[in-house]
Amino acid sequence: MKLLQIFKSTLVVLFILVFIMGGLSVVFAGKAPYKIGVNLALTGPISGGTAAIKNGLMIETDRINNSGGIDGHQLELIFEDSGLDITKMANIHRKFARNKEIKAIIGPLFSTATPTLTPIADREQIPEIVLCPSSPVERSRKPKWAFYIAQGDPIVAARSIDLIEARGYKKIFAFYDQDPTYIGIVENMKVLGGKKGIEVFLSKEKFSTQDTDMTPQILKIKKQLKNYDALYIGTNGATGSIVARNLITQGITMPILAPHGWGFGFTLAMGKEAVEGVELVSGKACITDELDDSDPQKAVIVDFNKRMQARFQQPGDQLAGHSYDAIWILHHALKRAGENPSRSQLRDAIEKTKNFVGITGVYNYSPSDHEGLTKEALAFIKIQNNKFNRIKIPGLN
Amino acid sequence: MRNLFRNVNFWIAVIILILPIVFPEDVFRTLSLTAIYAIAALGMSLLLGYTGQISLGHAAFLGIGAYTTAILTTQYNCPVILAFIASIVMTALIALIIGKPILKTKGFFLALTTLGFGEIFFVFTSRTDPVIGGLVGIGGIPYFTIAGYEFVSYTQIYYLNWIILYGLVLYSQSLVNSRSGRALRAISTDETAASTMGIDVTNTKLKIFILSSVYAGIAGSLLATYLSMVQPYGFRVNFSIFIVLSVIVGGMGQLWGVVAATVLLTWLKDEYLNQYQEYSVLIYGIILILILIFIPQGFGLLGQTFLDRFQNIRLLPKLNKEK
Amino acid sequence: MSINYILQFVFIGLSMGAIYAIIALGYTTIFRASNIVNFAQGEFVMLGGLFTHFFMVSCGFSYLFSGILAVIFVILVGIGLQLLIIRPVRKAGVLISIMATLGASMVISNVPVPLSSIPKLGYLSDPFTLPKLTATFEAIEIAGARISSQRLWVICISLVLLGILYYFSNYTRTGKAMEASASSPLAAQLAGIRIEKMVLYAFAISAAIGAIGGILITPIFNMRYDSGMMLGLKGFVACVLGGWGKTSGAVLGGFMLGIIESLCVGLIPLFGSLYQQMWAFIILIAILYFRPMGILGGEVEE
Repeated sequence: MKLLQIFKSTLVVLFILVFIMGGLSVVFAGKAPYKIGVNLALTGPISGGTAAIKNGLMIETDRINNSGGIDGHQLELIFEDSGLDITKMANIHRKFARNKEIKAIIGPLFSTATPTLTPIADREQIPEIVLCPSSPVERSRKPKWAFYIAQGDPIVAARSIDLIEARGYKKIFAFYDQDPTYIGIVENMKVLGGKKGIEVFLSKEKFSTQDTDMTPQILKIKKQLKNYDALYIGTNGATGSIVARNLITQGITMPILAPHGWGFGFTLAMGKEAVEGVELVSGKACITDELDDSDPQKAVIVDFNKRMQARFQQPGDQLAGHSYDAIWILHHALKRAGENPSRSQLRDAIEKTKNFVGITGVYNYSPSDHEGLTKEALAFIKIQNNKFNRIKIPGLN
Repeated sequence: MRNLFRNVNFWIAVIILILPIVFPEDVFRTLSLTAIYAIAALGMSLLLGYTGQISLGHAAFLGIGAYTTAILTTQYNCPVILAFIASIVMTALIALIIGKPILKTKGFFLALTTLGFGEIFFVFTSRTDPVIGGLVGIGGIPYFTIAGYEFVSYTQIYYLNWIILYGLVLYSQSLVNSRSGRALRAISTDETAASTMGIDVTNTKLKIFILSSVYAGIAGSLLATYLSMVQPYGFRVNFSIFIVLSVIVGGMGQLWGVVAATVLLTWLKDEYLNQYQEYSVLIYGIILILILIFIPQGFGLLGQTFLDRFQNIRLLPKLNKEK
Repeated sequence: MSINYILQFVFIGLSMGAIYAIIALGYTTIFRASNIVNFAQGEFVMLGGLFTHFFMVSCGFSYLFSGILAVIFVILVGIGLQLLIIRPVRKAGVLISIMATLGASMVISNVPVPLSSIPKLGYLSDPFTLPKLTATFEAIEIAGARISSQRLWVICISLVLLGILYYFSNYTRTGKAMEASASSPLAAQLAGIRIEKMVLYAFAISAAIGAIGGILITPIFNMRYDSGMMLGLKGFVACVLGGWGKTSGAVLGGFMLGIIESLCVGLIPLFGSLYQQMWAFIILIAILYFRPMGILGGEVEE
């Protein structure tokens, strides 16, 4: 009978424990946090950029949580590092998607990865806030669950053409890398330019962000360059600085134009004298002190920059700005969607974002437009004295 | 019946089948991937462990299998199972074509040649845009489907991959224990001696090279459907190194040993080391080196040694431990 | 396709070839002393550039001083590599030693990653470059082909280095001792030469020349912490091309690889520059298939 006694007392103890735990969980239930998965390459070659993103996300999340969260729900970010390994990125994406508690994913920052990652979000049906721009490849697949924060190729192309028009250039030579975003930009430029009598020639010699020396390609196009007014280098700032340096070595001095990927401090650091005089279109975060007072974005940008400097001693640059936009768009959407929304309710709510004044631009999403920005989000900038300076073009700002 | 219970294969089959009842779903996310790596390592075990050919470019064959499946399913709407078979055929074909010239070299020259081939594959896939997708790769690959049954959840994919792995291990075991198996071991010991014994060295080496590549192709195809995407960086030198490391750790020529080693190494690389964030690759490299310095003979023999010691304990005379 | 167009690519080829020759010489020096193929050779080059960059940015030292310090530190890394990793695995066979050096390569190239999370050191995982040796003087033109000043420096300094090494191996006592321990270890030991010491010297020299090569080449490209592997591979191809195991083979192979690779890039329309990283490996496979002993006829088998 001793055995029976032991058995009975164990049962009693177990019951009590379960009761207590159950009771506790009811008491502490409160409001479950809204969990958002963040898929970034926090280590590796782009860690400088992702650090800015992470800081931007944290500073805004803390601000939201300190003022009571979203209807009492705290916002909880779950960071996973992919180390710029695209296979890992895909794994993390799926891991987040299969975790029922995660409402949305923020990421990635690597535009080469988006065409393979957004199908995962679509298949698993989870809203995805993509930090990099979309591309024609992306749009052709009509993503239902992915929303893009960065400036997409149609608007960059349109704004670049505005700049070209203002400068009076008639013939542009486009030298670009193989990333779908940049291919999209130059192809769009060709079409738009054609409508305005500007010839945009797409170089047959291309390069890739992996290349460390573009001299061979430049040598091959050197002769052709003489026939053009300006050179458009369609790539990001880091790779672009190599191209700029190679051009100088070859004694090529024609005017250089660039897209928004150049709008970062590291372009100036790596390019130094080689990038002097380059004109580009980029996000307004590059030139915080030179914005018009009438610009609704100015207040947001200046304030964010101040807070980033205070907490991280880093500027609120374009990337950190993307984080700001991502968090606040999610915040407003979660509020709009009601209490503890499902993933599809959240997605629908994001699509209803109208006139959100962000740092990258003013966002208006819709079921047919998941990119939300117009060309006015981009400012005209010239690199002078190793700094970004704003160009004011009458009629276009 | 008694023999069945003594059979290692039987117990492993039981473990594989029972696991999902015990563990939660998330465990199978890694285990499914492990099976894929193990299939590739198994092939490498035949190549390296039995014929002694060092291939540092095997990831390229996984890539060939993966890309074939990717292209056929996304661009040509081919049913996955057919694409799977096509991947096997494609891998075998390319292995046949490059195998002949490559196998003329030996030792570290062979290692280098295969590495070179791997790099050529990488440059080619990362720079060619139409169809192959360049650096972006190919996305949107459907789930593995057999006759309408889709393998969606991690548990389903786990069963699929491990059953295929199990079948391949059984096949490898029969291969190794046959006459051909002994021929393989003869070749790795001394090629000249083997040929004097009437073994057609060149052809045998080529056959094993193709076979091991086919294993890699199968693994690659499964990888494509598991990840739902392929891209060039997924099939580089470090992957090849990982496969060779699995074979070394498992003990050259130990078949289940290789599988066990893969389980351990995949868990180490993809789960355990994640907590160390930026230190993970560094620590992995250090562990790799330590393994090579201290246990280059790997598990299989280590397990053997342990068993021997354990059995002999009662037979050792008591040692005089004075002083 | 004019002469000066081809000449342009020959110049580029010569400067890359000089670096390949340096790396190839690093392989050969170590192989001749210890029969080991050191796949981490390319890392010495990367570290040369990285250490210099580090000393200039974080310690504020001058370019020259940083460069000298960098070479010293890379020598220490090389010696460490030999003592901690290579020596323990020597007995275990070809496969294990190859894997060990590959593992070492992985470890060395990944040290900057965790270091970059230390505040103030964040730049270590980003691409980096160094100032040119002669900042003001940009490029010169020879027969219609331009060659940048840095590339000229690469070629000149490499030739000087090679000359110094040649003098060292053939005319100094230590150099001759190293040569002896490579060609006939038993005789060398009988003559009182300590083989292990020679092996250490070999590693130190390979590391030093690799580091100097790195400092020379970083201003031309943006180097990254993982650039070492590719450079190392190409250096190995150069060794095989010229004739494995011969110092003259390494030098010749290096320059030839540089020029052939550059001409492939320049002269093959469209694919040339698209697949620029691939040509070296195609050359490797071609050489191993048609003439495995290389141009000057070196060792084959293992």
